[in-house]
Amino acid sequence: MSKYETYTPTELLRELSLAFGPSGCEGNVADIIREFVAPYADEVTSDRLGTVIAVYRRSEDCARSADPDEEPATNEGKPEIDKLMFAAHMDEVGFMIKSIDGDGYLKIAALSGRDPKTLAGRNVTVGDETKQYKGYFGVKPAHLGGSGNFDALYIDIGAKNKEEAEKMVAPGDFGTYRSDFVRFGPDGAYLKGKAIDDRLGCTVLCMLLKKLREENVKLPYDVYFCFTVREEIGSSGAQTAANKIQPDIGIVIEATAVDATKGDKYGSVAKQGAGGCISFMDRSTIYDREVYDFVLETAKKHGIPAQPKCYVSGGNDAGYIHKAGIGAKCAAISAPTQYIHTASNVVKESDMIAVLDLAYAVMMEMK
Amino acid sequence: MFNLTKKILKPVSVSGREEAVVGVIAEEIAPYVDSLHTDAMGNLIAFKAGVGENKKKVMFAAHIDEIGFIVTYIEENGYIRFNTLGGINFTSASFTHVVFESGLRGVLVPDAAGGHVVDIGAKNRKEAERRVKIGDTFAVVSDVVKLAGTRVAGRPMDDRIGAVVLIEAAKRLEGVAVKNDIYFCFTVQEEVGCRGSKTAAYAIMPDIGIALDVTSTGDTQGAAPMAVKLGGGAAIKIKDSSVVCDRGLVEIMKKASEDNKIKHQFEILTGGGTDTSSMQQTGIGCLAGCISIPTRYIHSSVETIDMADVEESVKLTMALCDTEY
Repeated sequence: MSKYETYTPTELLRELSLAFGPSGCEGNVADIIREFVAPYADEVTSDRLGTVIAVYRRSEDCARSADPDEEPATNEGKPEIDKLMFAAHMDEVGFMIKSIDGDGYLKIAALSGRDPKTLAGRNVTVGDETKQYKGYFGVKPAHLGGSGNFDALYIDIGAKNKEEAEKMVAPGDFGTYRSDFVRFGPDGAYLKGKAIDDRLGCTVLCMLLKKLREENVKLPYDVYFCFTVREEIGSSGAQTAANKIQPDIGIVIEATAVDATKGDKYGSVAKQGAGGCISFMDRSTIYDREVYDFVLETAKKHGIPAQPKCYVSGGNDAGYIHKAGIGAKCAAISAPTQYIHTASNVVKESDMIAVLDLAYAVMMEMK
Repeated sequence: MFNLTKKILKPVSVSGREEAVVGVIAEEIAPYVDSLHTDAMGNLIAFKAGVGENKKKVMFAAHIDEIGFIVTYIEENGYIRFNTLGGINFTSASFTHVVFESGLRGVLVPDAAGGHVVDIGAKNRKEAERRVKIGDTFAVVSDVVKLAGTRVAGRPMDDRIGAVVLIEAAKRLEGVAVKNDIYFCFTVQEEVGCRGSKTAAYAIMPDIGIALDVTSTGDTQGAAPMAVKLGGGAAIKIKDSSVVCDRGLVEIMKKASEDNKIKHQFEILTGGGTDTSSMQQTGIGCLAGCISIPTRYIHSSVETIDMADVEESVKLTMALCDTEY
């Protein structure tokens, strides 16, 4: 029996959030996910880049038109579907060790975008899938003319000198924030941790699969739950997975920015507590309108909170899924999350549950 | 062809929302091709079977999206905030009439902070929300007028005029047995990064890919020196910022022009990309080239072309359907 069997979504999110998984080094996260999905999936594979694909197969006895003479069930307003792909990325924003200086300090390169201001003094973990060490982001103090410039930052792993540091890490090793997972706020409604972007999506996918199996749902299409790698450095994982699967519809589950333009009265991205954000456009994708409308309608019909994502910014795995191979119609459902790409992502628990409920309702409506 | 041009330029179909123009084109081209379908992204693909012994798969691609806008927010006072789809030139787009897919009209004006808003005449947010919702798209109104001689100004020439060329070529080839299998593709989302042509090319895996798109001209006011002239004939692309065209195919296009007495010129475009690049690089790749229609004031409301160049482009397209590759 898997130890995850009794986990709530929040308990699984905690486990995944704490796991070490910068872009290109997602193995530890993949191990948790493989163990979680094993009892529920019909098939679990990994592709060459490391994306984990768990499949929930269709039931043959609910195929669409078994009898050719029979009047086909009306499918008005519903997208046609044979293969549905869900994508959530396992990787988190991280760092790569470039070099070790004479004093044993590590110089780093960024894996994807972050604001250097959010780094100085932070806890960090360095290493790879098999060995990890504690470190701290050092920066020259302001008294000595310190700088917020990324290049001025380094990681201190407590090594006396280069030789000692080299016994611990090597150039090409990785780093991520080290940040505890906390429930906070007067009602305990908020969750804070690192990598909620996009371990939240991974949690949702795991829970969707579990629910399908536990309720023995019969679907007329196959569902591919894809836990992708390297989204933060250009979605290469989603690209290869989508090329392999060739889905008809792709649904990305994400953690998206909130109030990127705080103080700008007309630019609010999304409100926390108002449910999943449905994207009509971002920098990587113009979402299929039929599917966009369908997701919003489904939310309305089932009384699940949802909101349009009212700001055009960022991108996600849909950018590659929608134009992979012969193309796929895409949607993105994202939990509004504060402070993404920092050590402290903050999400409202109810928003995660709303995203989960909506994604499940969407699958049921596609039957 | 002027009436066809007006008809094809009229539907509001900005990037990602091309259904309206797809409907018009499908109806126009259906009688002249063997089959028609749309793919997941919305590309319209019309197929005409060839009869040659060594027939090749020739894909022609004209993009049918236009640059435009998408609603992101409605203000308390009824003004509409938006984001752009494609390269908008606000010098041209300010103080213009705009039209939504629903037919709703508005005016696009600058705000005090250096941004822009659309005024649809609504008194407040509530009234605006009855007519417009987040995610709706709109474009500057299309108005196509004849200028002196064979010249025509209006929008969006980029790239509906390419679609006009393909439709006209298909019409004139009615009942004609051509050597190659021809795919007339009307692609989506070119203005946001040549997205549609990728999936169309993947499905077809053509041997030869030829885009039809507009290009700048050296005789545009304020233009950098450039060899392409308005009225100089169909422009055979050698290079743009997204692609270096296959040299052998450029030679084939030149020879087809010479053999058929088609007025032509050569084009090197230093700023701007086309579907040519995505056809060239999709799947296992193909020999890619482009027939460009010389156009002044691209991405403005008064994109100006010469119908004589359009005529030459139609002839070159027809010749390339029947060429031995």
